[in-house]
Amino acid sequence: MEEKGIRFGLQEKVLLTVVGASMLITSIMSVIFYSRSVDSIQSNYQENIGISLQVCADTFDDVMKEAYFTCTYAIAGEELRALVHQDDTYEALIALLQQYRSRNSEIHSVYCYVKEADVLIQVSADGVRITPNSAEVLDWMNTATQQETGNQFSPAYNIDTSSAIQRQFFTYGKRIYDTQGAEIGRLFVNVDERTIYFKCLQSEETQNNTCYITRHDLVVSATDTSALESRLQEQEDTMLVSTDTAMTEYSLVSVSDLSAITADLRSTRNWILFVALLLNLLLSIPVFFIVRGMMYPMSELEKDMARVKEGDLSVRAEIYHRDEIGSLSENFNDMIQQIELLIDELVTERMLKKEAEIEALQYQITPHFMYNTLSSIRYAAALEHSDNIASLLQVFIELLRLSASDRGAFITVEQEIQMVENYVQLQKFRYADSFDVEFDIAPETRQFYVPRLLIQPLVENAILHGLNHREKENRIAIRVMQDGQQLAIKVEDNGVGMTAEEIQNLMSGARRSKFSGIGISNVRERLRLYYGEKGTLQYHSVQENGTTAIITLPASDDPDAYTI
Amino acid sequence: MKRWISLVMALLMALTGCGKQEVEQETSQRTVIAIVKAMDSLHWLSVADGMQKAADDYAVDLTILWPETEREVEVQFQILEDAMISEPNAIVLAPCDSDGAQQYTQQINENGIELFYIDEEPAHGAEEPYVGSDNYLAGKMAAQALTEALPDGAQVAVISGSQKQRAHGKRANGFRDCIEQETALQCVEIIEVPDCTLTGGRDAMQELLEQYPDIQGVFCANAMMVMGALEQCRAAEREDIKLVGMDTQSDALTAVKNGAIVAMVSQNGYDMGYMMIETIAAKLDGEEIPSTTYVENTLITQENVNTFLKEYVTEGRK
Repeated sequence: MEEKGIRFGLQEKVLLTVVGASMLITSIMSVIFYSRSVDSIQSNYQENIGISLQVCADTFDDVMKEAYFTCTYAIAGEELRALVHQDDTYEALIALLQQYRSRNSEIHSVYCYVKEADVLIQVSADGVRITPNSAEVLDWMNTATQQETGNQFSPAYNIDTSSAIQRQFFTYGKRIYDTQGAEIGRLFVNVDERTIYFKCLQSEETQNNTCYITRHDLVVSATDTSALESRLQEQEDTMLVSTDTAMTEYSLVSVSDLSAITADLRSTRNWILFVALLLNLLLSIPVFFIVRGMMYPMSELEKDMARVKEGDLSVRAEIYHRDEIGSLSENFNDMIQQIELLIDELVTERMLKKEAEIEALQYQITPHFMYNTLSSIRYAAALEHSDNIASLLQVFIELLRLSASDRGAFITVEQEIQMVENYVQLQKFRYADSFDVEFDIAPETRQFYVPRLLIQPLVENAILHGLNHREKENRIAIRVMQDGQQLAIKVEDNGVGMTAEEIQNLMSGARRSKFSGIGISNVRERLRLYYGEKGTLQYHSVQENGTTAIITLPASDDPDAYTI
Repeated sequence: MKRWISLVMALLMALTGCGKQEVEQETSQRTVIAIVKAMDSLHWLSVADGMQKAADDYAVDLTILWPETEREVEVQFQILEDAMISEPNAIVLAPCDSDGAQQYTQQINENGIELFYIDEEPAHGAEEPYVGSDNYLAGKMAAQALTEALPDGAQVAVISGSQKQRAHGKRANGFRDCIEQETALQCVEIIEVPDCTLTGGRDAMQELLEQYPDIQGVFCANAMMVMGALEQCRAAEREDIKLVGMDTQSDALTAVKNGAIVAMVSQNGYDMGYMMIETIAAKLDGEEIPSTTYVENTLITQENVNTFLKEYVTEGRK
């Protein structure tokens, strides 16, 4: 059954499978490798960030260490202790504090609280300020002083509320005791958060990551100063790497934008998929041709089978390769061969059967015996001057002679017509000349060979069943003519005619000839067996208006042409 | 068909993985504060180097602190007090004042802090583990070196650091005892240089030359001082004086190579620092450790100085 439109055949399936598989493999591979690369990149990135964070952490510690040493030195020294008391100008104290401040360039300022005078002396790069104690100052001092317990090496993070400009500081603040152990003041060594930022964080900041210094999740240093003193926000799609400082117990945190890190990789992956798709589409063209080539033997076999279906049993499939299709073709050829042989056998068998039937029917009494006997009778009739009887007997003898001769299945038209003429004469006698028969034989057809007892049964049928012998003017016409390659034989009568049903019964019926025992159906069948489609017998009839029987068969002057 | 699709999808999901990532560097559980005598010499720098490397290798949180010079006893005690309040797992101490440091040991133990001594041996009967040189032996080695270089009866002296530092005291004693008991040399003087510096060594040398013009050999208890002494000898045109020093310092070793210094008793600061932290890590893990770990002292002379230099440069930084 042929389908309209694109046929989804084997070729298309194979093509689709190949291209589909290729696409699938490429997609899976690129996804796998993408994710592995992403993991690898992220872990590398992480490691690198970790390393540079560690460097920052060490830098932070180093700066703080210097500030711590400054503070400790000051506290341990005698000079400071001696100067922490009420004074007019605090000149000496200020000079000492300046000295301390200049020990290290990272130190922003040194403050000293003189308890006796209740003032805070602030020495910084901006200058010197002597600030009297107040609630804000006291607040700040308490925040900035080292606690009684805990890590003494960790600076206190604070906002300098004691000054007009409120900077963020990292401060080491210690109490100053006199020799008796009473507190006489405090010393504060301050490092500006901005200094720390520029020293530690700034170089770390890139497009994709932001760095912070934190203390217990509180941001103490960052690029964005508005983030100071707030909690570090957790964000989606970010990678957090943090390192703790060893000495000061602060944390350095780096927050990286994950997607920015992998942006390049993602676009590469997308490119890979796109190129893969393109290549696969291109691939489908050569694959298409290859598959078609592979399928060629199959489609040829298909065509051969279609030809056999139409009836051509001589078709043999070509064996292209020794594969499954080749094996199919071989088996197909064997099958067709087998079928051809079987058909031949079958046909031959049936022909022989018919021949045997004819033979059996034809010769129940040997014509020779009848011929001889009848000859004697004719001779006796002639002696008694019965000319009518003698001539009838002559005709009859002639008929017998003809039917005795030539046992072959095929006789010439001439011979058959002679037999028919004799038969007709006998019948005219029987029916008292109630009909006329006209013979119209084309001269060139007389030498053609036809199966014996082809015309006689038709004529008999016309005489016995076609004509109404009580009527007058009964006529039968027998015509033989050549029509190209075919011979046409017509037997017409102007008798009662036949209905379609009667014709049907005649053609297929069992009615046999009273003369030959051969029925119309036999004639028909023999024509079919010898000549196939080229041998036909047709009856045309109109009720009350006569019947015409027409035989067509191939014209042949070779008696053996159609013998089995 | 649907089953296969979902299987493939699951496989892909497992392979990709997603979501936010958080990574924290490992914070070690062990905090150690090391307070050394100073950071003004190559010796202490290499000790600090060794300690830091061991800290990295054993995941120890290490903070190293120091006073400006070996003389700043008060400052060192301030730092020690701060360290005690901060309650690390362990404190490593190289005290500028061995006896003075004793007053803190009880408090340190009460706070649950492990105390270790480096470079400077703890007092007799003290239980704290020690990593450093066998200073007495080192003094002895120096004495033996000088003996070989000098004739019988020659005068020798010692320039040592502050006797408050037991290490120096032991070196001096080891030297003197060996000289007196085992050699035919004469030890005439032990001069103390409180801050063990180059200038201190120079000044001490000058004093010696003035007081003992016949002196023929001097043992300086560290490298800085021996370089100072060498300077003074050159200045005073007394390059005949045989000098022996201690510590592995490259300029001193060059002097040995040139023959200006007879020998140096090596004290691998790097190894000392490394072994100290290694020992601490083991102790904090609960392992048994020896109470005394001596670093090897070898005598470096002109003969073996080249090989020593090579080994020191390449292997010392393992």
